[in-house]
Amino acid sequence: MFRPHPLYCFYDSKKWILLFLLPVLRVIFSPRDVVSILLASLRDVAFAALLIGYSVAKWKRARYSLHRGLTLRQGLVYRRTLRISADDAASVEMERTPLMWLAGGRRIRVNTAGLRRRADATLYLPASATRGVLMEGAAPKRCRRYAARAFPVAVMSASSSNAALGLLTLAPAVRQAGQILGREMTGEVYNLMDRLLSAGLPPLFNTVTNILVLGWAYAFIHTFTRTAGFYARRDGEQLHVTSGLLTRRDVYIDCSRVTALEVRQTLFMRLFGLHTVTITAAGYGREKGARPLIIPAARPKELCAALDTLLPEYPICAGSLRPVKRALWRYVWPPLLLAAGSVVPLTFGGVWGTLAAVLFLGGAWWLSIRLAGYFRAGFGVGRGAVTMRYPRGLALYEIHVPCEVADCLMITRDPWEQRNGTCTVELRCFGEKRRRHRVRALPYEPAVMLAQRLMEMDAPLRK
Amino acid sequence: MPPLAFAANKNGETVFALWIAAGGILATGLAGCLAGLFTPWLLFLAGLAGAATVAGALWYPPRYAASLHGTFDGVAVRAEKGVLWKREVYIPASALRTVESGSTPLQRRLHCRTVVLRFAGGTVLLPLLPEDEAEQLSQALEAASSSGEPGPSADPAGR
Repeated sequence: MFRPHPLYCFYDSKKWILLFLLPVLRVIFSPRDVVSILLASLRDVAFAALLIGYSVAKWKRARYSLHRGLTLRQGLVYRRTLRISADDAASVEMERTPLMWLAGGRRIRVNTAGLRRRADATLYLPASATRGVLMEGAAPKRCRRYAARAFPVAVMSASSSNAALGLLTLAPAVRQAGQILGREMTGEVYNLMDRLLSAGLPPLFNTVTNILVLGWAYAFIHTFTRTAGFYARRDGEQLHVTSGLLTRRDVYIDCSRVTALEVRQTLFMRLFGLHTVTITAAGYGREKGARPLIIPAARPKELCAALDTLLPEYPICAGSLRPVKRALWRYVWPPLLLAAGSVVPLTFGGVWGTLAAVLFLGGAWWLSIRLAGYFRAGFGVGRGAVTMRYPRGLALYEIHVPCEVADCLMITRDPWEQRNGTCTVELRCFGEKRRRHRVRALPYEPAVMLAQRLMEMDAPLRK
Repeated sequence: MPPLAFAANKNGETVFALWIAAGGILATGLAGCLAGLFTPWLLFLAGLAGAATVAGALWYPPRYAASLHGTFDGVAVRAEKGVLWKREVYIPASALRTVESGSTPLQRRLHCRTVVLRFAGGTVLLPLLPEDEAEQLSQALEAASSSGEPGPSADPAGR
């Protein structure tokens, strides 16, 4: 049994280190003589030191072993021994932050197929030890590799957060509204207070604008640094995904645990003809903010080649059943309603005009997605897989699920659909994010036939 | 194996009507209390809730009970339910992780049960089934899942 890397102490006690800032804050906000500040801070510092000492004691008692899996023993008050066998580990994630690089340590997260929200085991190892761990059982007989190019990754990062993109489009509108308000109020008010307020409005709105733009810039940099340098490699039965500019992440996934393949496209990415591919694999993508990417951004040709390289045996079928023609209305009415709603603030004039413009642009953006979604939507069962294509939110999705993991298929018909002879098909399957896949306005009879076919195909496949 | 059919019966309908009535009485009482505390205008809301309860308890349960039916043919459970929003559910027996059947005191009194089908991607409820049919369904599903071999390794839960 070995002791984990000393970085364990730092990450275990990270939240308490901030307590050491209290003396500094006391000096800034209540300047008194040095002795009284030191006495007042003694309690906080002693408390923080105690907690850090506790982490150090935990580290000294912690032990791990990597013989045919992982055995981790840790805890002082509550002694816990965790055992994960090598066969049960669905994915292993290795992280190297700049601090870890300097300290020569790595963070390893081991995930199994359970439905926990966090990794089953997290441990800190010396860099030299991780090499042995991750190559164990990998047996690189045939190695196939896909590397993402920088430009598509930058485009993907710029559009990855729809909310951020929304804020960016909102920013000029807010700025404009601030200017209009400032101008109009200066002309109408006479007392000193209101004049001051009106003079303060444009800078206030400018600040809001700057925050929005900075928020988007932050989202862009965050996603780009997380995804840059991305490459995926297929080593036998293992998929090895590496990404990150500052914090380097290496993820090893057992290919047989891949239960869904999702192709996603936002409108912005559609303009560049790019797609993002993510997978659902037990345990992978559990951590907050993690996206289980295997292809960050690629054009269709590149995408097909990459999928052939990384997951050649993965079952995929065509979405043969399409929404009926008269159901176009069902796809476009929500965005049309939003766009039409912009008339209401427009009638008030002045600053409300800006709101109307924002509503109209938002509606038009959403309408484009919904229209593209309607023409692409589909549902298919065949070749050992279920395929669904549908729009959701501000993106288009295409999902491929092997028949044996399609757990439940639901066909729902609201009164309108019952009259039209259409239905909504919903697929539920295992996933870390518990997402449901839904295609609307499909013809009812063929959908039922496909559901029957799925049940017939599913039984022998599962045996 | 011959398909095992199941459907809600008259007792299930009564259970559902009583649930709606209890919920409606609570809502009406709450609206009445709020009216007493704030403004008599809220009595209108209480009246509305009462009327909706009476209408709902009389109109909805028979239709819901009539719509709830399904079969299990040894391979998959096929169930249909819903009055306004009709829902057809298809679940392969081998996908089921647990089959649970439970009953509240009211259901026990009227010999009804709720069967809960759990799979890796979620849960489906089959409420208001007669006790004997719920029992048969649970046993058949249990037998089907215990006779089947575990799925291929692509299955994350290792079924």
